[in-house]
Amino acid sequence: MAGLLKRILLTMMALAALVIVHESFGWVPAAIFAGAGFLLYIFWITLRQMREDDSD
Amino acid sequence: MISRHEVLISLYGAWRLFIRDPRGIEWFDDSIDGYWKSFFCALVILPGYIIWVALGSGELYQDVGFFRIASVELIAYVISWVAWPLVMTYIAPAIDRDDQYIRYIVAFNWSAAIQIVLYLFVLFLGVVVKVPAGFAAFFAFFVLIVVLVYHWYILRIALEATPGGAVGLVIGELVLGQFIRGMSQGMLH
Repeated sequence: MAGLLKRILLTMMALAALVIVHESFGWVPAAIFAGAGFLLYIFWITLRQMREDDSD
Repeated sequence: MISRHEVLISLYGAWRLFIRDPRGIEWFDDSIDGYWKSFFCALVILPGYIIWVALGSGELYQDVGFFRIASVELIAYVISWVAWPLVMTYIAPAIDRDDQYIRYIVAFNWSAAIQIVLYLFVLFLGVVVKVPAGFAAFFAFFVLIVVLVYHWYILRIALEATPGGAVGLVIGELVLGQFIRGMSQGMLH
């Protein structure tokens, strides 16, 4: 339960950060911010998966 | 997917609790499935929330674009629905109320329907009936007290919290809600 609620909350906080970047710097930095965030997320997921594979 | 029957039964349970009937808790589905279904109340009351926000925050939205208002309010709405149940996942075990957690969150979520009706009534008095500002402010304060007492009662019945503990949790939820509201209003300026 807590896991899903936490993910929803973090997603909303990331969206809030995106809105702030968009309002402060415009669409292009917001798109870059979103892209960078997505890449970091993929990177984090990959690292976590690798760690799990190593522990197995 | 939740059925109309389940929605009506849950809303009836929230109403029974509002009129201080402890058996109101029996109308809720306190299974894991019922837990997630209770978040459907966010969709049920969304039209009322939109009216409340649109009419109640007129001055706040001046010179702010629609996209920004919609995105900020939507984010704040989702966060406000998720934050307290998440906080309670940590508090409930700490106060030895793990077993009552689901029942409490189900009742708390459905109680939002009663609360939005009360807030819309305050709005109706201020915007449509146009009662004097002083009276509207007094009535808004009165409704706030009613809502807080309602939450306190849900905590007592559903979570089986002690009277003092319930007061602390009511204040905690109020502060968290005001914090989210303040952050969202800050994002609009």
